[in-house]
Amino acid sequence: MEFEVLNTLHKDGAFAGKDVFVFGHCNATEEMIDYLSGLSVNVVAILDNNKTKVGNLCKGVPIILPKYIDANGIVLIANRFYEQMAQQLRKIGCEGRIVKVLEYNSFAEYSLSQETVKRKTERMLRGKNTLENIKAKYSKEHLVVCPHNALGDVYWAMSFLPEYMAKHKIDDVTVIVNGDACKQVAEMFVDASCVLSLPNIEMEEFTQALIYCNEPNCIIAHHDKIYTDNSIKYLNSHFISFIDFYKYIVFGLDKTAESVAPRFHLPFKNTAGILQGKTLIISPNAKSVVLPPSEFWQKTIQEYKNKGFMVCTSVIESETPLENTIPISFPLNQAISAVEYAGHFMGIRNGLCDVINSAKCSKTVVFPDCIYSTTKIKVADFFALPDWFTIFTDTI
Amino acid sequence: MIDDNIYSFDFILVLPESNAELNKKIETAFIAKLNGRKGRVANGEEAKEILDLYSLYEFSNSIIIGSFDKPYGRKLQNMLNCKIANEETLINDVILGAMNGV
Repeated sequence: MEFEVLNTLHKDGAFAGKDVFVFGHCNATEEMIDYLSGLSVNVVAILDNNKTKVGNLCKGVPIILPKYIDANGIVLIANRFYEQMAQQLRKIGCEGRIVKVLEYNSFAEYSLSQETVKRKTERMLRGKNTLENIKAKYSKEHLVVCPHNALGDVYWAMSFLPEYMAKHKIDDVTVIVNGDACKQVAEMFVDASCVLSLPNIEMEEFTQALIYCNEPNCIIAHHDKIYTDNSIKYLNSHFISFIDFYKYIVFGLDKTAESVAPRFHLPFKNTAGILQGKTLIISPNAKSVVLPPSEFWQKTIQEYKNKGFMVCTSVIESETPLENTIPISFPLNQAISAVEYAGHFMGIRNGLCDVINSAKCSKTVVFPDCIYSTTKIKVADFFALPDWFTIFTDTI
Repeated sequence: MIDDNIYSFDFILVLPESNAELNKKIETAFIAKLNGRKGRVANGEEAKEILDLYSLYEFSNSIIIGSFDKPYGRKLQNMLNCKIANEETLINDVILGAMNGV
């Protein structure tokens, strides 16, 4: 994410002598905290209206209700609801500077200036060029676009894809995903030659072109990413699970439709030398949820070690493993065989949980006690995984 | 002609469908939900113009498109077909969901 505005504020001395707040706990906020930390600017608190998040720490920063803001602090907002959030702050007496931090969402820009329309047209045309290139190469295939860089979304989209294809008598598809990790997940279900990966910016431009051109031979398979669809609002007053969201709302399938498990996954290469059936693999990280305290993991680690288990942390790239564990990395197409070899998996609810959902081993999911996105539904209810042992962080 | 005047409204209901009965239902529910807030309804050519621009980018979060499958990418028709929600629920809780308060 680009935070050029933060550099400018820093250079201009806007943070000097001010308490710095960020408004709205989300991925962008967490990235902002990291970015500001790199500029030696410490965020005093995260403002959030969600009472279930209040009182927790995120990256060591307390989450508080907006009413407790220092009247003269500076507030940074990376959210397309910037206008409403700024209005709320003014109403409760915030007199300090409120700054909109771009680029949260390239789909939205609340302006009708000629310059904006020109820029957005150019953006769409770049996406249209990508679309034309894909259609030239895969002329007969139905396009299945997973715009969200989220493993779980791709997993469930692919799980229900065979039923969708059967319902609409589609023989061939090209699956277009956001980023290489999502490509790996898609390739667990369909032949690798049918999967394309686009980087995030290109994917957003491409998706915009699909919308603008009303591309007919295509489905955008997502649950909350695209501004033209507002199905997620259904969750404000009704319930449907994440998995059923894909089944019914995204693909329009009926009750009899069944998801399928991945067809292509590789044997686990045990380069770390873990113990077969006597290893716990922990996946402790997730986007946008309040993580359990380190004491929870240390207690769990000790309990397993006392029973003679080896305990590993699943890490990606430069991630730090939990203390007293061995770091372990495996490609996603080995994830199922890796946890089956280990015998035991425990993870905060994240996309890896979806990827290994069909694995035959002991699986425990740890849910934070918080509300999902802008809905009124708990994360634990929306993202529930049938047949998994479940731990709720409010019971820790 | 779409201009900055749209930003003076809390909500603008855009009715791009030719189904007069559906449009009436959505408009009636929209007016009932305004509750003192400033709103207006766009239909006909103006609705088409707004929808086209809205398909280029989200230029306002006050725009409410009164349709089950427009703009492109909207999947409310699936919810009707699967019978997990009826028309009334979709109009009141989803299409006009932004008016139900944050």
